[in-house]
Amino acid sequence: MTADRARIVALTAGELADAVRGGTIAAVEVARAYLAQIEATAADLRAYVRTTPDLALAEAAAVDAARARGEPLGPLAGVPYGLKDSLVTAGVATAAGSRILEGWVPPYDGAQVRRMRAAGAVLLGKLALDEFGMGAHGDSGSMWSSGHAQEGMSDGECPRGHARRDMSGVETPERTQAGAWPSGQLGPRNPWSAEFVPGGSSSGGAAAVAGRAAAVAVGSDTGGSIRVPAARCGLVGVRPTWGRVSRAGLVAFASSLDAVGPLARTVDDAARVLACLAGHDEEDSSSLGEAVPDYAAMAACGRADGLAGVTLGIDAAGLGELEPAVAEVFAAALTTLAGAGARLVAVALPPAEEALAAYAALSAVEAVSNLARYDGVRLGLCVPKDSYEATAAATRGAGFGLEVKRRLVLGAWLMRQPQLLARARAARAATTAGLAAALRSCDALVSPTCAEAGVRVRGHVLGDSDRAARALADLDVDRFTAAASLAGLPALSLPAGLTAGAPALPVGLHLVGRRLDEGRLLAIAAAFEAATPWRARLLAGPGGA
Amino acid sequence: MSELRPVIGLEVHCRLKTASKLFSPCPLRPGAEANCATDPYTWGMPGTLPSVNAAAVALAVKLALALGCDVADESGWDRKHYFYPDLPKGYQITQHTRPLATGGALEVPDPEAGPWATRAVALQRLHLEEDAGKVHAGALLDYNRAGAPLVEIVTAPVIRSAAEAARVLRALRSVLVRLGVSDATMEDGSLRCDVNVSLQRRGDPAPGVRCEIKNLNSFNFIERAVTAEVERQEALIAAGVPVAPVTLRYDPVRAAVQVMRVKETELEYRWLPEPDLPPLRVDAAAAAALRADLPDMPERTRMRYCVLGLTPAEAALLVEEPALGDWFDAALTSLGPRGPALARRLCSWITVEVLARVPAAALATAKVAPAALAELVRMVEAAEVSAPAAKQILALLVEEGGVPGGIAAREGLLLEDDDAALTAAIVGVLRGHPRQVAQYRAGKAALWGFLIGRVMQALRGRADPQRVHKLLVVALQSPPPGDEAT
Repeated sequence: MTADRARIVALTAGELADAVRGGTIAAVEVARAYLAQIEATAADLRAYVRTTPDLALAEAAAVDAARARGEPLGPLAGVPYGLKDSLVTAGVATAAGSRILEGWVPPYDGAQVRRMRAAGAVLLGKLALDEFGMGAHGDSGSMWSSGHAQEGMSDGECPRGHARRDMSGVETPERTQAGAWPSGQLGPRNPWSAEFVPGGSSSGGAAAVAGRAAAVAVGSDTGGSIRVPAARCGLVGVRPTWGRVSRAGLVAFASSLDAVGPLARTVDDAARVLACLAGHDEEDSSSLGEAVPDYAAMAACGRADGLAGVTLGIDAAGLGELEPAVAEVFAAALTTLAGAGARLVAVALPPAEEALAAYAALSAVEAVSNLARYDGVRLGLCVPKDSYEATAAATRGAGFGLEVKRRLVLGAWLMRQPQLLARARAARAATTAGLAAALRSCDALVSPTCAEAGVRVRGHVLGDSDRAARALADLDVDRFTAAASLAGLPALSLPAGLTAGAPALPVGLHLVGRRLDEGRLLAIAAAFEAATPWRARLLAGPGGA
Repeated sequence: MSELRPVIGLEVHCRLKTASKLFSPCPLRPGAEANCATDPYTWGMPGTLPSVNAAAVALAVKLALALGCDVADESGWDRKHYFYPDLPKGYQITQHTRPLATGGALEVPDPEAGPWATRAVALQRLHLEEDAGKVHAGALLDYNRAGAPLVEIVTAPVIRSAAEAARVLRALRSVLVRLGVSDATMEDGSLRCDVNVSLQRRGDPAPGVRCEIKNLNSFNFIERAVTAEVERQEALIAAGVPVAPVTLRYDPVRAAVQVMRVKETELEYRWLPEPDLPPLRVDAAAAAALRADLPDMPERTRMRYCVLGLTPAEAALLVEEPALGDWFDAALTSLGPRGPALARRLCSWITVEVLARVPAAALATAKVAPAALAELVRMVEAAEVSAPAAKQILALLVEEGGVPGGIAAREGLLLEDDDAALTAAIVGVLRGHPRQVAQYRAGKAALWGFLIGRVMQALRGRADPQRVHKLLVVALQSPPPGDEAT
């Protein structure tokens, strides 16, 4: 790594934006450094499914040109970022990790890329994920390419309506690798240890940001898909209140649970990105109209003021099955929180098993609905047969991976079980009410993000029987995160510390707040971040010790 | 069989007259080339989300208020799932659990109870939903229509005959067009009708097994299809075969119904609350404003025509074609206080003479103005022009517009209405034919025809024959013209 590149990729997004705005560094220089870093780390991280170097350089040049003209620059001016590949980008293939979307080039931009661009951020590429966001480890999918593809940008017109044509009229590189799937376990790796998964489903985002191959990333979280990978990779990941960030442009998995948010190296970076993403969007009727507070300023207050007057709720019953390494880090984190002035109180939350079962059921049912559109007729993969029904069945059979199929079968079966569905909805309501009750006696709920310190990379492609056996264990990964998803409440994961053993792995601290109370969560997180002895080590990143 | 009576209900889908689709800003362009009136949402592209078109909601609320429905302050959206290539998302967004409006009634003519009698046909619900695309012959998929705003109106199963089913749809169409909420044309699919038919044994409260005939696209077909279905069910029952709940289609060529499929059960649509849309709230003030602005309903208009002395058939014609009714009303208004007295004559001029020259749909933009026709009818009635001359004037009004008085004067079609001038003409004729006058006066009555013919000839037809008749009688009873000079 050249000294310049090392210096640039070590900067936080906040520092980068300040440097670009101040003119001490050009956005193009930053973009080049990151593109070089992506190339250098591609084989180890496998974070990107597609990079957009031409687009990145063009967006960076636009930032520099705006600065040269004396125009005001956005809050993320020149900050290079990656987007989870379930967030659509005009002219850049978007597949959500699924073979069924093979070859689809969206003719429109999602709200996320629009807002990031408006803030001056520079898109580096699209990040790997579990297929449609369904997975806890970043290793489930129907499509893995060997390394990422590069995509040339075309400023040609977007095709209206029919999307099978490629935007630029040329074969996209990943299509030429059509024979590559399923090609074994080529999902992203945890930058802290290649033997461990980065966590899912925003796996590529976490691997890229932790591996310095993106300054920040935008991911999505249904049951824990931002928070779990943030925890495993030593990052700050925010799942905002449902509706706080537009879902327009997010390839839907379970609409009533899906949320879009940032993955970042610091609380301040997460706050800055969230501020750009949040706010009402005309294209998402469920997006909230409440004014967006200055999250970075709130975080700064927390950092300066500590946690005096802050009450944190802990449900001891939920901590019974922590791995010892996690329990140790969590206990130390509680000590740090108390030392910073927080008052810790005991709360009783609804049992995690109820929340997990409700989450598994309701997310599967919504997935059946959201994935019904993939029939091979309009876009993506088509396996032609002699009738519509046969074509749809063959396309779905070839296009969806095992985990997706498992959930679709479950969901379709549940849709015909009204009593079970009613039970799941009741459990969701009980979880929502339980969290609301607990949050009346405290400002935020605190727990580890995951019960285990790390999950080892699987050595082989899972067969049907393995998959079934692993389904419940995988679901359990979300035991601390699913409740906030069901309740639509804001939650975040931030680094609590590192395990003592070798390899040292990050452990996540999970906070859940009241509705639209992201600012307070960020303030608490910033106070903890400032107080933790791990901060310098974590900021240095994997291998930085 | 006489103890079995048909019980019929309608499910009517009607496309709302909006500029864009129900859940996206994609313009609605009827007649556009296949797949040219689409956008990413229409295609069901991943990442697209619905947002409700307020104009469509306003039209649906207006319709619901006009039909006397209870409009819900808050209604909900649901997803109805089925796999079919014309359904881009694999589900349709509709209002299953909490519809926009419930109750209400439609006033429908009931000729069996009397020429002006009506019957209130109860409505069950009225809700909004998005349309599907179309599969053309040759399996071409066209998504132009996908996402178009529809209202579905469901009647209670209270319709008693095939003829009444067609009358209900006609009455509903009048309301839709009257309100301007829809083109409501069966030919272009902006009005579609499914009919539920069952047979109930008289005196037995248990309903019969219900069969549904899908997608009837003309008033005549509805009547014939229901008749055919009633006969089919009667034959099954007579043969002791239980009626199965099936979905049917009508084959107009064979004038018969065909079974399409065994009816889906509710669960097979896998209903799900729509998570992408907040509940639909109808603002009370906005609803009140819509209610205050409602035009007269067709049934009320029909009663007004009854009072004006129109025949039931004439009134039906004007009511069923609101463009025609509007034109009639405008003409009537221009007649002022004389209107009611001339209403029948005006109606027959419009329905016979005007419609022969201008199609009803083109009336609004025709050159002939309602006030011009009204004036023409008044001139006929006041004997200022003759009936044949009036038809000639109407033809010119249709061609070039203008006012009938001007055309009549220009074309020399005005009747002479000055008694002195007429008498002078008559005296001139009598002087010219002293022999015939003397013979007539002497009792040869047959010469009357000869004399009046000569007078009309002298006037070149520009006189009211009845008036000429009266004046000629007077002239012939007066002293002979020769005596006058003495």
